[in-house]
Amino acid sequence: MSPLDCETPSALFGEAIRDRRALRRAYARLVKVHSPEEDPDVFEHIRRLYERALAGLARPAEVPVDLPPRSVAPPEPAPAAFDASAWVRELDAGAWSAAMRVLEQAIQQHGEAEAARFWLACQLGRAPLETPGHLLRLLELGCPGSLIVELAEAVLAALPDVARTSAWDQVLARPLELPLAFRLGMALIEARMGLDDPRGVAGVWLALSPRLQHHPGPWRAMLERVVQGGALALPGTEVAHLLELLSTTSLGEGLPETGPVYAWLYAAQELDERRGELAPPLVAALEALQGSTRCEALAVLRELGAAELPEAAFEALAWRAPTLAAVLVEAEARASGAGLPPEAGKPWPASWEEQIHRDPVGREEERAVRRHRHLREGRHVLGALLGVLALGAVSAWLGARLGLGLLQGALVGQLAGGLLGWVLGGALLTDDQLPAPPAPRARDVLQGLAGLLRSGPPARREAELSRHRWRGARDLYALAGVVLGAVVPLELWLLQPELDDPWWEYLGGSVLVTVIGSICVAGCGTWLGFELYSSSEAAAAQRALFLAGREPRQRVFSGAMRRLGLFRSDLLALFSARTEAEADTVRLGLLEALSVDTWLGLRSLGPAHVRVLRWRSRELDPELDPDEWKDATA
Amino acid sequence: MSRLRLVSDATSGEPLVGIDLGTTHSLVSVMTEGGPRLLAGPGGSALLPSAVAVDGRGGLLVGEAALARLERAPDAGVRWFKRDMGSERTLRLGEDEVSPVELSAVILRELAAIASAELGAKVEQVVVTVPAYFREAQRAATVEAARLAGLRVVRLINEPTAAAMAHGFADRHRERTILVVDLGGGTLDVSVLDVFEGIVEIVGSGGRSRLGGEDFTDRLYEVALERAGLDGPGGTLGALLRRECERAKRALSQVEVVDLPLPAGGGDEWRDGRSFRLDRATFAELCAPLLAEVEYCIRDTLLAAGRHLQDIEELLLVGGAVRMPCLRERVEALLGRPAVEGPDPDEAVALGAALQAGLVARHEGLGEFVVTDVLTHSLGVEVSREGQDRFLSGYFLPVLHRNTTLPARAVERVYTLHAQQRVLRVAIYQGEHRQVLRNELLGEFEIQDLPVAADAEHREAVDIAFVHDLSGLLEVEARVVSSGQVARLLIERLAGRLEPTERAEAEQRLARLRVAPRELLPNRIVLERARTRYARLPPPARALLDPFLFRFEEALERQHTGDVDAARAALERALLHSRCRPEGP
Repeated sequence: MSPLDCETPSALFGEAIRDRRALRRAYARLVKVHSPEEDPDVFEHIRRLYERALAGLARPAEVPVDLPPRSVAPPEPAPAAFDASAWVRELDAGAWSAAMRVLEQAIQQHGEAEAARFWLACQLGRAPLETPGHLLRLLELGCPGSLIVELAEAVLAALPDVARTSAWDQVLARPLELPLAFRLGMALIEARMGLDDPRGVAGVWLALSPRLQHHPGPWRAMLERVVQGGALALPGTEVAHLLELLSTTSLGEGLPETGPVYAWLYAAQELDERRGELAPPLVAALEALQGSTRCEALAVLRELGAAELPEAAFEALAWRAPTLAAVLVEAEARASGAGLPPEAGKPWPASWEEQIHRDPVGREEERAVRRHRHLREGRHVLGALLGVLALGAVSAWLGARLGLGLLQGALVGQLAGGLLGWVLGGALLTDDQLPAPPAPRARDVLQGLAGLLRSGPPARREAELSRHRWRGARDLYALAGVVLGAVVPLELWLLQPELDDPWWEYLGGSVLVTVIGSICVAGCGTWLGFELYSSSEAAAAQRALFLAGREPRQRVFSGAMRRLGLFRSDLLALFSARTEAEADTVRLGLLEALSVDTWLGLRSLGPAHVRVLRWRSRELDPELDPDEWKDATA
Repeated sequence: MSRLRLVSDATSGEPLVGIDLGTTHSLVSVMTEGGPRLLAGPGGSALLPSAVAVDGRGGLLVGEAALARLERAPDAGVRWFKRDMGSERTLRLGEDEVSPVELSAVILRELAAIASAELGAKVEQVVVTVPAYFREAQRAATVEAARLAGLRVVRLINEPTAAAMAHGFADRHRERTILVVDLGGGTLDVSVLDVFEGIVEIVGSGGRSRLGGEDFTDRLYEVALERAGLDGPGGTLGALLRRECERAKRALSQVEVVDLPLPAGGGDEWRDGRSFRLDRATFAELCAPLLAEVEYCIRDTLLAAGRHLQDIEELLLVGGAVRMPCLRERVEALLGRPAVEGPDPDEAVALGAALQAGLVARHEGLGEFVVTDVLTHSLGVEVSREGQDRFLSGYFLPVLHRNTTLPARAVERVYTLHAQQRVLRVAIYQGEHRQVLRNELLGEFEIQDLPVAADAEHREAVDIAFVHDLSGLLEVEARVVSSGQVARLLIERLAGRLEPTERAEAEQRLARLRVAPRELLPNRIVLERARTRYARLPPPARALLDPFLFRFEEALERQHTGDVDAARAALERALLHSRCRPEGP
């Protein structure tokens, strides 16, 4: 019977008209046969009867439209039931487990974000590499996903090395809302890129892929982050490596129109524009999308990631953030009453705890380090200065009396005085004379760390402080030079009544001697002072702090070497380039290696710049074969 | 990669593509064996900016190239012309005065060219999306633009319907009621739909044709002008400041606080002044009236659809502007539930258009997938109403009501005013107002020689029947009940409205703006981008970029293809270099 023959809803839909769900089902069945596109007349008839049947069904309880809007956010937690000061008192008393229970109750019952921060700070002190596990525990305790992601971002910013562990995949696999999962993924990607860990980046990608595969937007954003991440952008070879790794997955399996493929295409375009040499791996990657299964690739990746994880990661952590690690370990050990683990045995000025408490991002701490260092270095310089001043004058006078002459007397006396003064200056002012630090307190440390977790990455401020510190040191040396220069007129004035020779002869000799002597004394004093200072036990921790949290020296060094190598090869390529296009490529490489000003300066030199380049190149690579260089520059 | 297996119209065999003709961006998509897919242009991006400009020599720039040109010379072209579709307004494009229809035609032509290049077959048939709340004149203007671009519109589809299709397609058997809020660059559309048993059923649509993301930017721009102490600067300075506002607005989607740089003093040159610290809360406060308007529109649509806030089980946010956290939070708070993750907000509409193209072409993969749409504006006739001592004319009698499922038919009976009436004029209107003056006239016709009644009190009854099909064809029939006399009017809503002479003139104007062959799109995009970047760089960096730019310009002059390609590649690499990326404006 055609639907057109039915005049009433009951004739068309039968018993289904008594139940909304059944009615819909019956309607859907009919509409699929008589769709509006193919059978408009019949559809229109079915629709009319359907609407009549719907009108016949009673609506559920009517609710006026203009009800006040419901709030998306969960209800506000009850006023703070967690008393932070009481808690840290308890902690100081040594009741670690009880204190942890208090925190967990505060999180579980009142959703206390502050308590969650303290809890995480404590756990980080015990096991920083298990951050993902700690975050999962917080999730179990009922912390909202947004707080978890916020804490994860703070930890990754403060301790980027914890990003190395593959346990983050478990956090990513939790049913966080997609934007939150994406935020967490991006934080991990950024941290792993900072660690030059393309495999880790790929791991995050893969962990997120099941949820993002229908969304090209996030894929694109992630790729952009990797390819155009400014200072964090991975080098071309590593992007290629990353793409090769990803290509072993079957992200496109059966889903040729989904997000990853858009991302691939975007990457192909973007990378091809930037680095022509990446085209072959990209093509291979695109082809491989049809290939192996995702599980296989994940297994391989996890295996690769896990094989080198624990030791390397912990070492990196201890190296990059020794202060933080030591503080945490110490705090945990004190609270639990257990013996200190070996890492905590490293000496570190206890006053830092208080500094961390007062200033979580360490501004005061940095100032203290700088003051300390200047004191130690400056006293040698000061001693040398006094020695030059005192013994130089005396020995000149004695030299004149004994017939040696003013010049020789001054030379011997100033050198001897400088050395003696430097030694005496260093010896007289000892570490004992530095102000004694107060005893460390666990609550200060933990409150400081909780503050650090709140405040986010301090990298920029640290960079600023670092610059100021070097500037301060430079100024100190300059001041020492000026003071030493003042010795000349002083000597002249003191010895004037004794002079037999014309004063200008003495002046010429004395200036020469003073300048040479000052340079030698200040240079030797500074160098020796710094070396001694660096090797002392107390200073080791300070130097570690200096290295922690900012660009590690090793990385700077390796980066510089890479750039210098690039520079050399670019120079060779520039001179061997046969076409303008090749030369352009080389110039771009040079742009990477040189500052703009240097590059412009070299360009403006015209023909002379070849000599400069030759000099630079020889300097950079002494083993460069002169014939090879000659051929290259011909 | 293998070539796409595309969907073609079952009747003609020609490829059929879906086009999202947006206010800020436009996209073209196609239904393939694997599902809907976006087609990317020569720049590699599927998003084609809806911008048209002319260069210094009168050459036409479209998309990215036009956008780059407009940054340097704001008067050289036009954006956001979709907002003026259906109006008589003309816009200045170089030396010419052009209509929004012609500008849209340029964009459509470009999209069709992209599709043709990608599919390897000439594209002449399209499904085009329009805001649900577009009036008849605006829809007709869209169709006319397609005709000027040499395309035949086989279906106009409402944007929220398309977005809902893209969203509902993947999970079309799970029963739920969805609210789609589509806030694009210039328009707001709200739709309520039921998804059940593989059917996506639009229950109601509403919206605003002049409320979009650009209005939020405008609001910020006004405040920025006020803060900078400027009195509405035009030209480059205004364009730069507005761009900064746009950038700040977008940045607020990612971060809590942004610094909006302001120019110092007047003039046409940007000099850095103090910046304006803007956080999300302040931005939400500034845009409170716009947010209230969005909320009002949602409530209004729900009311018209006979649904309540509590009935909504899923909230889907579509359009680039929904990335604004203040909007998202407001809508989520209103509905009491978070928005679901759907397709990319920028791409959902285009993907839905491709699905609709698949439905029109009866694509095999969509066999069990049914979508029903509704009428977005009421259709009816003009009537007079009898007062105490006279008739008052100009009242609107709806025959097909708003939110009626299509295809639909309905009949209303009207009566003559007096026994001697011989002619009945049937004027067809579209709109929601009680009086026809405030609605839109679609057409009119007359029934002559009505029977004359002997009785002075007799009124002749006339049945007015409206039949509206899915392709936009509206048939209005007036039947005199006593005599059976019939008169009809067929309104083809996909026919366009320009007279042949007007169309010929428009085509001539467009022909004058053809792109010179040597100035292919990728070259223009790169050249304009590089020139814009050069203007913004500090002197040392300019010196770096200059040799690359000069070499490219020289290669373009020589018109040697190999040289042009090599020089363009070098310039593109230079543009990507960090030294050539200024942070400031």
